[in-house]
Amino acid sequence: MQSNRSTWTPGIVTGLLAMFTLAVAGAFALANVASADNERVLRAVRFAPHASLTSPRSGPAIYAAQLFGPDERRNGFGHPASAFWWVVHEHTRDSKHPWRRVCEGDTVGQLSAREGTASVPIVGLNESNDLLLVADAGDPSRIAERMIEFGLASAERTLSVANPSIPEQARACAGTSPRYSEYSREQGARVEVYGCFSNGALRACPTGPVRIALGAPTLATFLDRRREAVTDDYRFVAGVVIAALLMAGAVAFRDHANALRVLRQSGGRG
Amino acid sequence: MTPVGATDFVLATLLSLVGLAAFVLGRLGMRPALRVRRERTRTVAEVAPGIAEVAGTFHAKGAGIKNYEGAACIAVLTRISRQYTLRGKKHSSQPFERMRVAEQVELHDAVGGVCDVSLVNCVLFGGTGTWWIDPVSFEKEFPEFVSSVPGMRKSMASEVQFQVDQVFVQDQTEGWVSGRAVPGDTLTPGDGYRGSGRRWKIEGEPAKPIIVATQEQNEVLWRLRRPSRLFTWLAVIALGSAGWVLWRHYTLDAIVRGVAS
Repeated sequence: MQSNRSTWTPGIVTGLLAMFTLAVAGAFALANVASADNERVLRAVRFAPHASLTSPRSGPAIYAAQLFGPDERRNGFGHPASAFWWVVHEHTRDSKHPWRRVCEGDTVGQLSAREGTASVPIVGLNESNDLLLVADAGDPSRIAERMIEFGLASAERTLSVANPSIPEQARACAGTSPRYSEYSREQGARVEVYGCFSNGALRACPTGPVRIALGAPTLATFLDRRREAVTDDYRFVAGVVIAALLMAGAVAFRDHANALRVLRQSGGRG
Repeated sequence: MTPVGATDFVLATLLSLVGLAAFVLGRLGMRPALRVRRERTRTVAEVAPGIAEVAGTFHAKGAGIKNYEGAACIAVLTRISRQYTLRGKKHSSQPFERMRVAEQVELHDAVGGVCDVSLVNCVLFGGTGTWWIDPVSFEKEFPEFVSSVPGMRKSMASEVQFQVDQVFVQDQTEGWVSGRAVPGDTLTPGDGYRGSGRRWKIEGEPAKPIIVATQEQNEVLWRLRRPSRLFTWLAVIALGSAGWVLWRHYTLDAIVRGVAS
């Protein structure tokens, strides 16, 4: 009786199955780990209660207010601003990435939130180096305990070193062909602040996945970015699964076709 | 309310399609076995139902099939876990207590192990049978299993009693050493076979025809087994992932809409 076992390749199929399972399990684990922080922030902010500065509550809450900075504060274009964040890009010869971020900075100190007659200082937003300013550009998965979401850049222009309104730090880091971008909010801009009210001020909460967050005009964009980060992670898993499926399917199909061929050769009855 | 992300539905649809394709391919993989059945019907009528039965069983019901390349043994065991008992004999007249074995996996291994160490003169049968095993080889293969059975030691002859739907095992030497059974034979209760020092005896009323399989028929079965199972596995992963994508999508949607979960 004819034996055709030499053409059978169980090792390939078993190995493939193991690789496939490992790849999928790894992708799932990676996605869960990667998105966990963003999902915690998303849940914390989304389910925080709304409160008023006139009747604040203890614990984390979202306060809708108008944002004010020092009266004399001017942004890089010389306009009155409550707070702003600036970025200097430099032109490169790389056609794919023509602009390279060379430096950035913020002017977000001495802020206060005002609602009706109540005006309270915002404390702890920039008291440490872990403040993250989130904009429309960049990686949405970046996360920190203190975050400001200013949305779209308000303007971009070629940096003029002679412009005295531009922060000195920005002028110092400017190269030969800089571009100055700014995310600025005017005095009295509508904002939402997630934080804890205590001792007559809005402060960073003592604990939690995010301690203080400021969104202009609301925290909706901030939440959308958290969601986008989580979504990216599970879509990555789906991509890995599809790729692994196609690869495993192709090998399995080939293996199966091989088995059928052997079957036909073994007696012509397949 | 956050707008529904079409990307997620595209991904879920793609995963579902791939999963369904894998499932269909897995099902189609058994078609040659059915063709074999039809053709066998014209030549070896008794063998064909057994082949088709195994093919149908392992695909339709998901029964385990154990494939031992060394012995070319395939066992299809579907409802055995609660019916499996072991009886040992310290001496020929001193049987010990019966043991129920709860885990089907152990049973698969046990039966396969018996085939594996016996190597020759395996028999295809269903129903209730008594299988005298070699405890030395058996313990070598499955020490944990043997140690779980009181009184089962190397020096004794042990007896395994079980009830199965179908067991396919292959005779590597192409037929029986004793010459009493050949591929295609239908076995009946009371028949006994001997080869390489092992005795086989069929007891009770078989639930299904007891048929000796040819090597070629076994080739068909175990060649088609792995790819088909792989396809099924791929289908499960793909459909599960599709469900996971949708679940994550709606979970996040609920959070953004402010619905606590």
